[in-house]
Amino acid sequence: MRELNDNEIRVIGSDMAYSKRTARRRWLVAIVAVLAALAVLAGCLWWTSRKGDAPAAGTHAGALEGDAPAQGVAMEREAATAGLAARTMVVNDVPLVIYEPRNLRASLRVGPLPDEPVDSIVMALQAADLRADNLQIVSAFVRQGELLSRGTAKLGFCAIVGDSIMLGVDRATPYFELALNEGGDFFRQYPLVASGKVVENVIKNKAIRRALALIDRRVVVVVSQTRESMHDFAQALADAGAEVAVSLVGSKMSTGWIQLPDSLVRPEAADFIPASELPEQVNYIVWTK
Amino acid sequence: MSDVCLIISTNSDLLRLRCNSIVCVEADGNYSQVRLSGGETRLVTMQLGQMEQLIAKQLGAHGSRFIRIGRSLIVNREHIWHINLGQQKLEFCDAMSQRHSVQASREALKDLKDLIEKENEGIKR
Repeated sequence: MRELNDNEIRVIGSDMAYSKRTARRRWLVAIVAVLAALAVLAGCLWWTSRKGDAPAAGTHAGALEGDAPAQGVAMEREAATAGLAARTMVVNDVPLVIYEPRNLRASLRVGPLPDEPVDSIVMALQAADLRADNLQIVSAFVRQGELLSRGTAKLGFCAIVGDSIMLGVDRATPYFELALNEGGDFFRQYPLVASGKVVENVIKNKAIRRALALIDRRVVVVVSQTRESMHDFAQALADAGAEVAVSLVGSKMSTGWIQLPDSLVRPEAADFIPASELPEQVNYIVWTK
Repeated sequence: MSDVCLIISTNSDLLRLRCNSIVCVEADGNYSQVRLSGGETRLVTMQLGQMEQLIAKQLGAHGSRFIRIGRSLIVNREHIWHINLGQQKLEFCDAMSQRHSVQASREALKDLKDLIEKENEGIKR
């Protein structure tokens, strides 16, 4: 069902919005959008033909310059060889590994993964936290458009709709409703960076930290190689150029895997937990081919 | 038609609302405020879009008495009493003569007025 704007009405049960004026306006907007898209496409073709191959993504440390972006940012899947690219960097004495999914499809999954990695899942990392008392998912969680958990206890969010991943920090976000309406996925976690600035959290202990971050306009997974406080990790992400970053389940107790072209990284290498001992609601963000 | 009910069920409770008793549903962040005839309101832990889907799914053809207006309002057309384009105000009057008004955009109210007029003409024919 299409989302309405404030100037439209719809009789419930009908798919059509009732507005002659907006219908006319929509045609106009569509024509303008098509013309603009053609102009951008022509510009891009001209630019790439002039410049040759696009340069590789930068790996500089330091905050991005210019205006802070909106908190929800969409990233489109790129046409490239499917797989993961990994790079390391040290920011403020915090060693980080940055995993960049290329041409992989992200989605959420609920329930324990098999003990042995499966080929189709290139990367699987625990997404939303579980409550210690009842082992249920904390905060809002949507899987394939189905609402599995409610709440806004954590303000960071990740929405996956189609081929786009949106990261942001907000109590109320239209991406939640979009995920529900479009059969997408959505979960909440601790916010780490918003608009390039560190978001303070109450968690003070040190642990191996993981995050989804938007760096150089790409959604990447960042893992600390040493136990860090949430603040130090968030500061390192901000200094590494993250515009938005949302935490993932950390510590060496979390489960999942990262399949690199030449090696396999398992977060729980020190404390392997078999699937049979994991709670039913354990959930993952997975990247598949 | 008067005994058609909307069931809103969560983990902890269940609301059974006669459709005629629902005056309107207003968005309240991630939640929705259901206003009932008599002036009572109930906060429901659903977004307005989910409420719209629930109405369409549960009520089917009966759901057409409800109209979504913009992003923040669902109204029961049976209770619409006054559309004021000048003040961008929509007023309801329920069976118990309780009145309630909400704000909506002029464009949306114009469309609503147009829709009701057209349907009325259709009935007359």
